[in-house]
Amino acid sequence: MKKLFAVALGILTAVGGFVDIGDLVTNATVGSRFGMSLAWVVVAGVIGIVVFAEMSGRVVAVSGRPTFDIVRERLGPRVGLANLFGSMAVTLLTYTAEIGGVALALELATSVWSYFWIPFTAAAIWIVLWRAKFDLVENTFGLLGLALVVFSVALWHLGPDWGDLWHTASTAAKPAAEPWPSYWYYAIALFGAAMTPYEVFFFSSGGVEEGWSEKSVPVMRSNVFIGFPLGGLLSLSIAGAAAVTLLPAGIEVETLSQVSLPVALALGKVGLAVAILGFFAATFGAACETGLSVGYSIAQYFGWQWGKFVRPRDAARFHAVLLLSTVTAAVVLLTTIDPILVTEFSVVFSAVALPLTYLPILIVANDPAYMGAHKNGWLANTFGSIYLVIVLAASLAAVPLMIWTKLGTT
Amino acid sequence: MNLPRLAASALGAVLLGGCVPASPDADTYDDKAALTLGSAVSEARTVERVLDTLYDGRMLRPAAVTQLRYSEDALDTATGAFTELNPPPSRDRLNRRTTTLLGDAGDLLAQARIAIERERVGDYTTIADDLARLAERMEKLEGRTR
Repeated sequence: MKKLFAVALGILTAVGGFVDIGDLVTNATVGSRFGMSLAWVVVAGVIGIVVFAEMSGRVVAVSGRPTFDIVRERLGPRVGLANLFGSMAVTLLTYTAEIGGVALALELATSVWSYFWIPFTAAAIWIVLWRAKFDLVENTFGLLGLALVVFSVALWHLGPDWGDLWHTASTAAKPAAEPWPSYWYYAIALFGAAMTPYEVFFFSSGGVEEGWSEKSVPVMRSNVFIGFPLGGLLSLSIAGAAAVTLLPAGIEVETLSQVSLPVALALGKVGLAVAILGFFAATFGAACETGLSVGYSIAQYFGWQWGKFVRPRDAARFHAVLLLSTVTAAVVLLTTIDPILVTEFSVVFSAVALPLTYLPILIVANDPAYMGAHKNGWLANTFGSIYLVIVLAASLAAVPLMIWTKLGTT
Repeated sequence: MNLPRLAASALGAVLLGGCVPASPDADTYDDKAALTLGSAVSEARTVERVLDTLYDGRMLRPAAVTQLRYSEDALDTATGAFTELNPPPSRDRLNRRTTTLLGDAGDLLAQARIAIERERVGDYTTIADDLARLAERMEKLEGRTR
């Protein structure tokens, strides 16, 4: 019974924790401009994150060490440093976007300017990272993030033409007015939003925090194989609700309140309040995860004591990195840069940095010295290799398309 | 000219170019007008829906106030970026019509903000209807311009 509860809790938190500010904004933007014609990218992104999170989780469960600790040991400090720089820059950008997302959710709830909330949000996140237990952070915000199911309810309540939605999704038929470069730019952004590097950092380091062993592999797999695809359905619901209500009206999503508009149209005040709660929980939870990921990566590279399984005074440098990155993110946002713009950059640069994260995982997961009998089988390697090609292509195309389409505006 | 001078001249030209209003050709101007009208339609229709749902008691007031603020900002930015362009002589009519419609949209959004601030619920539907009509006109012009 206890094991069943642990599995159910893991799946629910995986679903609730799947969506972050990048998923919210990108899915709604894509739905409002391209309808469901980019749904295939969400499916591809979910399969990709499942493949790599399973590998990463298996590495942790078998070796008892976080993936990137082994990456540095296996591939050497130079490759490890390149990996650290690339992935860290993107994770810090994502952390900044998540803190901005929390402030935007609070603004929606109160109408008080989001920049007012940024110092308080950053302070609250830092206190949680400093004081709260790992399980509490993961479970509380993961479960509250389930409030975003309200988008699925709203889509159902709107009573769309399901046949038409399926037709658009299955044929990838984009609206005629939208140019192909923008279509592919948003395809990459959506892919980057689904496969953000921090998810793997957090997943693998979180496994160490929770003391995974080989016995944990089935539970880890159930979280990944069930929780992540259900989280992907949430992403599709956000895009679907926008496709049904905003696309026909010519409304393009540029703010978090426009993301929530379909829910208000379908379910009224109560639905909107639940959606805002979901925004808050999803972004606060993701901010904690990205903040921790920054600390994990740096501390693991330099061999410092890290993690929330030890007292803060025993991992002083790890907590100093958390504090410094939180202050940096808050200062960047207080320049009055638009948090939605930061989000757009974070998902695109996630796509750029993806190979730095995923190639090392594939190498380590194939190394019998670390993995023994649990090294990749043919299925994991087939999917891993296919996705490595996709990830490389997305990484190379992201910046040229961003410049060509002027961030998807043309 | 030696390389440092050439580089300095190029940098100067780029910096100076950023301070001078652009004078696009007719096709580029059409694209800019269509893009600006598209943004304005998006904001007008958003606020129209916010007012409708607020009138029906299906929208939280803080969320409505927040959206109004963002819509006004977005429209101001789009309008500013368009009006600072020097229109080609062949596009004077398009310039007049676009700036008039953008001005009307700005006025209606301001009216919506004031109505929400003063909780003049009776005005919500009137302004929403006006926004719907204006959005249609802007959409028509956008369609003709593309």
